Parts: sequence; structure tokens; C-alpha cells
Amino acid sequence: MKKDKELAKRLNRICCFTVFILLLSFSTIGNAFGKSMEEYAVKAAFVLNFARYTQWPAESFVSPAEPFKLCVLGNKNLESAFQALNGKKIGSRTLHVRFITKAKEADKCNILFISEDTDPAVLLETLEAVKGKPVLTIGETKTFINKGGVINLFNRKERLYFEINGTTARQQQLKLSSRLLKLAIIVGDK
Amino acid sequence: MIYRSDIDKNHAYTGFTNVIYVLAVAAFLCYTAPLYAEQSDLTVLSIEDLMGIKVTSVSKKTQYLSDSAAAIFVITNDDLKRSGVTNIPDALRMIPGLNVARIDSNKWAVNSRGATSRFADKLLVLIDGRSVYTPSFSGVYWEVQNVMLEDVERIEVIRGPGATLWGANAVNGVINIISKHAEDTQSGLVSLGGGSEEQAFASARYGTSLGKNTYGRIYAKGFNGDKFQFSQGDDAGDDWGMRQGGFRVESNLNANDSVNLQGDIYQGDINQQMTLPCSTEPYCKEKSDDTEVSGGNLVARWQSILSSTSEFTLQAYYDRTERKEAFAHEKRNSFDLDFQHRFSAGTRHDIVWGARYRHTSDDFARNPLVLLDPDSRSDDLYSAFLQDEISLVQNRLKLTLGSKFEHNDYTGHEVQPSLRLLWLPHPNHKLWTSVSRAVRTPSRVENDGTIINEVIPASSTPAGLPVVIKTMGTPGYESEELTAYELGYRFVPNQAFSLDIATFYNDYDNARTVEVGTPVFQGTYIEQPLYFTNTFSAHTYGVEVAGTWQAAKWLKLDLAYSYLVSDFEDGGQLGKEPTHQASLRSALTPREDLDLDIWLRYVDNVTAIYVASDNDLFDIDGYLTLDLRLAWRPTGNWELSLVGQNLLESSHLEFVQESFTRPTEVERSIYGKVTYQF
Repeated sequence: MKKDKELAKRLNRICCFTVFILLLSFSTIGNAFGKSMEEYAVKAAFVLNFARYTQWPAESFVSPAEPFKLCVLGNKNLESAFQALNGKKIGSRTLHVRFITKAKEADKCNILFISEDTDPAVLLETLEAVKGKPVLTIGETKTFINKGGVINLFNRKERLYFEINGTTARQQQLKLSSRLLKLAIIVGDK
Repeated sequence: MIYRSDIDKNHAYTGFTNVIYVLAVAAFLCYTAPLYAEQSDLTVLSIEDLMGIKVTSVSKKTQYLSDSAAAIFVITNDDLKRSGVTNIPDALRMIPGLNVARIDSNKWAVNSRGATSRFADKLLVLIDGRSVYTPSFSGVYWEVQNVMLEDVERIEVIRGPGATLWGANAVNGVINIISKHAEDTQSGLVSLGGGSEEQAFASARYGTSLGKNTYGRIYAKGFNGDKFQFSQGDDAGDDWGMRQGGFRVESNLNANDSVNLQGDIYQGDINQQMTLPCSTEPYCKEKSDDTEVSGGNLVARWQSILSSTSEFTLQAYYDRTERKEAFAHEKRNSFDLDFQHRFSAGTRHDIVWGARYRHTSDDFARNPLVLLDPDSRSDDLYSAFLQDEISLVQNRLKLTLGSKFEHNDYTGHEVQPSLRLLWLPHPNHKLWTSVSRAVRTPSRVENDGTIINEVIPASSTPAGLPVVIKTMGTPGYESEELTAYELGYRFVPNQAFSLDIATFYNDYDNARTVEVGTPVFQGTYIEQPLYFTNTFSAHTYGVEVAGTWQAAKWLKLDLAYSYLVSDFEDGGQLGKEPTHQASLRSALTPREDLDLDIWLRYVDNVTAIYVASDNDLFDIDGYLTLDLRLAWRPTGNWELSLVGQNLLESSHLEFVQESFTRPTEVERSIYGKVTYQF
């Protein structure tokens, strides 16, 4: 545990350094980075864990070897962070990361991450498109859960927290592990 | 480690020049391989570990500056360290709009936007949510606020009224001193040093994990400060020493809830060379006073995150202070309970509301110079507030409306509303404006006090008898009221540059002045009472500019300029404020193990109330001064630093206290410091 903490701290420093180097390299871009890279790197790691602690219905996959599809709806800033997840293992399956731009591409995904800069109309349309389907929707806006998302990541006092809507998860035919539910802030029923 | 972590966090080093560009690209190329290897390792971490990682430190300061419709300034831990200051008030000199003057070795006069004096009464100061505002005289005893600077996360300073959120007495400004989470101080630190004025100082802190999700730290510090000199050149006898210790424990109970408990205890001996009035020949006596100060506090806090749109904080604290000096001996106990809840309603409204109860009781020993009647008093304060932040046009226009409602035992009900508007015509350009009302509630002295200011010798009075001048509180004394109008602009084109301009017009009503009462013949002397009244009105206006430029990876420049015009001096309670003030800090890092900091300050001439002078005013010249700091880190654990303060003159006068002490000059000083972290 302590070692992990130290590692986390070390990684954090390295991430900070990364950001600093990136900012150096792209100083003129400045504020184009709405969110720092490190935040998305951490969020991507969260998403990977969510995938590992969620059970999809059997019909979601045709074969045990079928890849696991993670779709990311958002801007270029988070691409490299999520691209790093490509090829990771979720049990026996390999994770495939896809960057999508339209709602209609979403229903083929197992996990869908919708970034905060997504147009509110597109967000609603996308959530509507996957409603009731076994897609784990993950967002980062305060209204995400109320609009029908399953998991919402948010930042409080420089730390990331996540809230889960258990009712929506059930409607999406997803079973979230008790470990996940224990660490989450539960909105609505468990 | 390649770079110190606090530099990484607090500064997004960016540069404009081609040279820097080339360096950056080279650095980027050099570190590409380890960077990817390490970054991908994040994905092997568990959720628990990920939840413990800190994110978004890079643009934090910029965000603070950008999103608020108020004149806000943040001093980071790095700013504190690089400024070389050894106390909080000296650090506040880097903020535009703040008036900081050192009266002697152990006293400061601090205020925001004017009305500066030793007993400056319109500034609210909080240390981790605990008010250190003293209700006896409505000011702050800065000399007893000795927080461990290494463990300060940041100091947030809001110039202008903050009464809607913070309540009465947040009239001219609010200073929030925020210490680090115990989780962020999981290491040991020892620092030792000494010098010409900071004779000797030492501080130590140790932080550790106390089980799963529970962290703690303890600290202790102490110092001895040398005496300054009176303007005439003799010793001011104002040497002093303080000792303080404390702890902080926090525990994340579950995903939603965290609790923390913290406390401090201090004790100090403060020497003062006083000139106290007396009713017989020679009508004043010199006294070397050894002021004894002590105090302690215990703060408990429960924070609960209900969802991404709702959270509350419940805080309770107990605070005790005692101060025994030649003209007053005061004991005070306070208890404070505060609740705040923030939630979103729909997509447009961010609402925050809260309620607070405060009980404070004091006890004054009878003293002929400062008499309080009754000498012991308990007061209760009840307050509630509601504020709604309305997003009128998403990411473009934000309106904040709110008000505080409170009831105090001196003036009854007080309402302190504010209206603020933030407009972003472009993401880099931000404009804000506000109208707000704040009140400063009466202090104990203004209500119940009698102060003997001075005794005019028999030889200079027409009646041939000494005249004792007394200032007396009046039970009907009312709150002072401020209506403030503010307009500000921020330009934040990138992480490397920011410009913040704030302007204000303050309209004070019901302000304090004194009314001359009827002289009373007392046999051997004549008593001349002066009564505190609220019959004065004053106006101040000004412009404050703060600019930050990370000119290169190794050079950061910070400029602060203030322009202030005030007519408070017409009320006879305050002097003339400095019209111009400027501060320029340059933080150089020529090598990653070396810091060179240069801090140049200018403060315009002022006058201060001083009862011993003929017209009750004392003229103080403007001054230009310079601080230098050089630090070297031979290894990651050790830091050696050398700091020179007020280097341009052997001594200069900054301010004088209203009465009882003589003009004392701030001396040039130098100190060395060794810090070891483990």
C-alpha cells in the first residue's frame, strides 16, 4: 500500500513533468488544453478499471476472443491518453480504442466515454442511441448522470471521484462489481 | 527526480523565445522514451490508487484568477518560499491593493484598499476556516498568527467585500490561509536558521500515514526576533519570541466522506518599550513591557460529497487566546459552528447556502488605561446566507446573486447582499463587475471601552491643570457600512502570462469618528472625553494591477501595482494612504539546484495617526527597498538559503502605532537557513 502510494506520487511527478514538457513544446497553444493531459491519463486508467469491474451480458460478445470495444467521443486533447489503453487486456479480451464523432457509431461499443466538451445535443442523442443496450457510458459533466449516463467522473479538491447511477446500469444490462460500488458515490438505487 | 515537484506543479514553464523553443524540443526528445513508459504505468494502478492521485495542478492558479467575479489573488506555497518571508504579513506585500506596514519588530498594520492601522478594522482573516479577527478591537494580532509556512498550501486574498459569503467584517477584504492536507505532507522536514534580525528560528514537521486512508502530521516551530531601533537611534526594546506547535489528522471514511481534526497551541513573549500616559508629573511613564501571549484552537471538519453536483461541509471549532500587556489583559474563548451546502439546480444554477452560530466570551482585567465596562461579556452571532451563481449564457455570461443575513448582539440584524457579473467575450478576455454591501460591526472597545489616550501637561493648558484625553465607547455605536462598486478585467492568453486589473469605488457610511464631549473638572485634573460616533462618511477609489510572466523556463516575473485615493484622514481616525505602491518579484532558476530571487518594493509616503504629535498625525516618507534570496540544493533533501531583507537602507520607517509606542524603524537584515527533508 505504502509502496503503491509512493509509486503513485512518483508517477504523479512524472506526469507533471510530462505536462510541463508538453507545455514547453507547445507554448503557443497555451489554453487550447482545456484540461491538462495528466487528468485524462488518470481518467483513462479509471476507464480501464471500470471495464475490469463490470460484467456485460453474454450476448454482448460472439466469441471469447472477440475484442473489447472502447469508444471515445471527444476532442483531440484526450486522444493520446486513451490511445495508451489500446491493446490492454480485459480478462481474455483485447481492448480496442476507437475515436468516434457521431451518435450512431456508439451502439457498437462496450464502453463509451463522452468528454465534457461534447455538444449537449450530441450528448443527449448519443445517450439516447445506446439506451437499454449493454453499453457502459462514462462521462465528465455534472448533468451526465441525470441525462442517462452510468458513471460520471468529477474533480473535487484535485482528486477524481466517480458517481454511479445503479438504476441506469441495470437498464443497460450491466452488472457492476461490489468493489466498484463501494468506492463510488451512488446516485439513485444501488 | 529531474525537477523539484513543487516547481513542476506550480509553474507551467513556458517561453516565447526561439531559444527556449529549441531547448524545449530538445528536452522533449530526450525524455520521450521514459515518459511514455512511465505514463502507461498509470493503467496498472488500482481504482483506490487512482483516487489518491492529484490532478490539475498546472492551471490551478490561472483558474482561480479566471473564474471569479472578484479581485482575487493567490499566493502559492512556492511564492511563499521564494519570497524569503518568515511571516504572513510580509508575504502579503506581494499583493496589489494590500497595505502592509511593519510598526516595529513584532507589530504590523495590514489592510486591504486603505484604512490601514495597527487596529485596522475591516479585514477578515481566516486560517483553515477559523477566524482570527479579534472582536475586542476588530483587528488581527498578526504577531501571534505563526503558521508553519512550509505547510501552507496557498493564501487566497480577496480585495473588496466578501461579506455575502463570509459575513460581517469582510469589508475591505478577506484573507484565507489554507494549509496543506495531511496526505500531502507525508514526510519529515527540519529547518534551522538565524541572522541579524531573525536571530534564531527552527521548525520541524513530521507527517505519516496512520492506517488505511488516514494521515497525520505534527509540527513545532519557534523563533526569537531581535529588536529594531527607534527613529532617534536608540534600541526599541521590541525583541520577541514565539513558540507554536500543532497537528492535523484527516481520514477519508469512504468515497463520500472525509473528516479532519486539527489544532494549534502557542505561547510567546513580546517585549515593548511603551510610553504610557499618567495623571501626575511628568504625565507619562516609560515602561518596558513583557507582553505574554498564548492561545490554542481545535478545529473539526466533516466534508461530504453527495454527488458531482452536491456537497456539504460541517465545521466546528474552539479557539482561546490570552494577551497580557501593560494596558490590557484580555482572555477570550470562542466557539463556532458552520454549515455550508453547495448544489446545482438544473443546468444553470449553482447554489451555495449556509448557516453559522458563533459564541464568544471575553474577560478583561481592570486596567486604568483601557477600561471595559462590563469587563466580561458574552456575545452570540447567528447568520445564514444564500448565493446563486446563474449561468446566463453558457461559458459566456455568469451572474452571481446572494446575501448574508445575520444577527449580532451589538446592532441586531444585518443584511449584506452582493451582485456580481462575469462576462467572457473571448476565452482569453474576462470582464467582471460587482456591487456589494458589507458592514463592520462594532468592536467591544467602540461599545464598552474607555481609553486614556494622553495627558496634556499642566504647563500647556490654559487652566493650568493637566488634561486627560479619554476616548469613550458609546453603547449605541452602529455598524460602519460600505457600498462597493468594482470593475475588473483579466487577460490570460496562455499559461505563461496573465494580467489582472481591478478598479473600485468604495462608499463608506456611518464611519467612525470622534465627537468632543464636555470637559469634566476632576479636582487635580480636567478630563476631556471624546466619544466614538458614526457620523463620518468616506470614499476611496483605486486601481490594482497584477501581472505574471513566465518569461522563460528559468525566469518568472511578478508585478503588482496599486493606486489608491482615500479621504479617510478627514475623519481624524486614520492617516493618508500611500497613493502609489509597487512590487516587482523576479524568480530566477539559472540551474535546477539554484534559486535567485529579487524583490523590489516601493511604497509612497503616508501619514499615520499618532496622538503624541501636535496635530495627531505623523509623516512617514515613501521608501524603496529590496529583498534578495539565494538558495542552493546540493541534493534533493537539502536546501541552503541566504536571504537579505530591506537591503537598500540601514533602516526605514513604515508606520507608527496610534499611541503608547514610539516610531520604530525596520532594519536591514540578513539570515541563513538550512532545510532538510526526509
